[in-house]
Amino acid sequence: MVTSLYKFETENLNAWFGSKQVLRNINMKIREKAVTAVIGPSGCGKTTFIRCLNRMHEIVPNAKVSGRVLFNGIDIYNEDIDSVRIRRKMGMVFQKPNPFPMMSIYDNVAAGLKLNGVGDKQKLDSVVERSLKLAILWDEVKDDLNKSGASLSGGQQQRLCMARALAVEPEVMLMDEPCSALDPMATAKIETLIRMLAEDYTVVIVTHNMQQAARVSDFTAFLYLGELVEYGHTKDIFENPKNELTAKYITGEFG
Amino acid sequence: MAITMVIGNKFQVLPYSLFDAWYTMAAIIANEFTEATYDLYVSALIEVGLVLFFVALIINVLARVIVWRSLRLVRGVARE
Amino acid sequence: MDNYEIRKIKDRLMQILVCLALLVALIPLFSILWEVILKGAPSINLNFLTQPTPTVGEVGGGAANAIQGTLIAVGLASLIGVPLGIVSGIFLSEYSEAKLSLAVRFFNDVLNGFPSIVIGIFGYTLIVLSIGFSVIAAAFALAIIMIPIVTRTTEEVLKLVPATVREAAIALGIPRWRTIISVVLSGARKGIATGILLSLARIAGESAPVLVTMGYWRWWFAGLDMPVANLALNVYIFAISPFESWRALAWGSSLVLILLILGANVIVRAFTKEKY
Repeated sequence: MVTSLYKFETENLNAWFGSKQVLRNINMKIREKAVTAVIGPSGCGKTTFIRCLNRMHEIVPNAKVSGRVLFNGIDIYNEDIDSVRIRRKMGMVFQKPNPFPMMSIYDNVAAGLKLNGVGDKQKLDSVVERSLKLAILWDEVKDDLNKSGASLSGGQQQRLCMARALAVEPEVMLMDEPCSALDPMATAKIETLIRMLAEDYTVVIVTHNMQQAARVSDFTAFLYLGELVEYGHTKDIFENPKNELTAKYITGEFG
Repeated sequence: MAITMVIGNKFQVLPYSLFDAWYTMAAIIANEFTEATYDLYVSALIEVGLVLFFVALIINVLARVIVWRSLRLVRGVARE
Repeated sequence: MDNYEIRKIKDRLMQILVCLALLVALIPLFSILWEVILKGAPSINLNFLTQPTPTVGEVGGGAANAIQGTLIAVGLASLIGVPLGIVSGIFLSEYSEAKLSLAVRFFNDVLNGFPSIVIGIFGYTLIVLSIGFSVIAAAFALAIIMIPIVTRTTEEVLKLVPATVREAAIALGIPRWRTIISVVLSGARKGIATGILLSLARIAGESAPVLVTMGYWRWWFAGLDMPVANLALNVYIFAISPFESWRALAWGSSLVLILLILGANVIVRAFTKEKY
């Protein structure tokens, strides 16, 4: 295994939905222990991109991927790699909070471990507590962990989903517009959380909110119509975009 | 079974009116199965069952074809 | 009268028509229940619930062996039918892209509502001709009637579980089969239970397939390769018999059958009570 600065390296990544090509030749190196934002107008492929990182794109019928995605130096699309194992190393948070509906808060957070065979109650207890603390949700729910996961507010549910993802101790957190369904206060909490996570995890966040990208990320990638138009330090992208298209998008001329 | 209790179970090629007694395939089988003492009798009854089977099958297939056709029309129109 | 007034009147008219239609649809149900309760209740007494079916000329007798027999036959049929039905439902819902699923769905729909006597004959040729008239043959035929109902309802209910739940589980690195069993299925418990109950109610009342796979039986359970008594079949046989006391037994058996199904409903509902 090659250790490098880069958690992910994509090489000529292409993706299709049936005959429609959604990603074209994406070559990107994502730094570890940093927050990378992926921005772009609707339909530019940013969600597809992030789902290619943990092999979630291929579970859609008629979806196709070509190219390589190196994770810790190893191509995860190699035939020998088990997609289920790979996904355990990456946590994913979705646009709309989706806690498991029939389960309590405790069971939601423990699901990743329980359903993979871990049964030791003490271990589960400590993991649940640690994850909920990490997701800044512990104090709000610690008195009743047996409440239904769905009884929480939107922002709390999203933090619950983050706790659930963090419980399996991934190396990466992939977030697909995690705040778009939340109010500004909940959004602020999650953004704080993201910055905290960056110390130990590699975070890739898709967002259509440019201010959020500017606030939260270290690196930014701008995608347009499936192509990587520009990628670099967030400061550079926002203050000195090299590409005309990037400049137009950032100033709000389209998208 | 419910039918055999009320239909009268009488052989008649064509009923003269809606209020005449008559027979159905299922009723014949149900009524005569226990009395079928020799093989040919049983085979005859099972053949009635076979006819019933085909009737049910054909109706089902027709229904499916109709549904499939109309779905295709809907999808065809929607695509345009 | 302006347009708005006309529409209000039409609306009212439709409301009344729909309520009338509802009443017309409910009348048979309630009148059947009423008749059965009225005519069946007098027959229910301790004797009825503990004595086996009487022979010609015997005074008294009851439906105890028929109750036992129905429970056994329906229970056996469920052992075969419920697991097969649920697994088929899971397959149709979770793996619906597979080419096989088209065929499975087609045959499932064809089998659903197939004439039960034909299914009974199938059981006859397959099992009775080798083992003889037996409760196994009846359970087999009843299971075939059960499976499409359970499959259909399981598939429909599983489809209602939102895709986001499955996605979250897969993103956690949970293998697909585990996702289905622990996450998707648990969300659909109530619906699956409803499907099972529907199928139980259906087969408990089926007398035609029982007739051709078991026939009339007057005694208690005597082994899996022997017939058992059956409530639905007894109702049929006693109802058209010339004896008054037997006809009363038919009414009583009908009531017991309905009560059994009601009881099953209550029990299953209690087991699938949702925590939240």
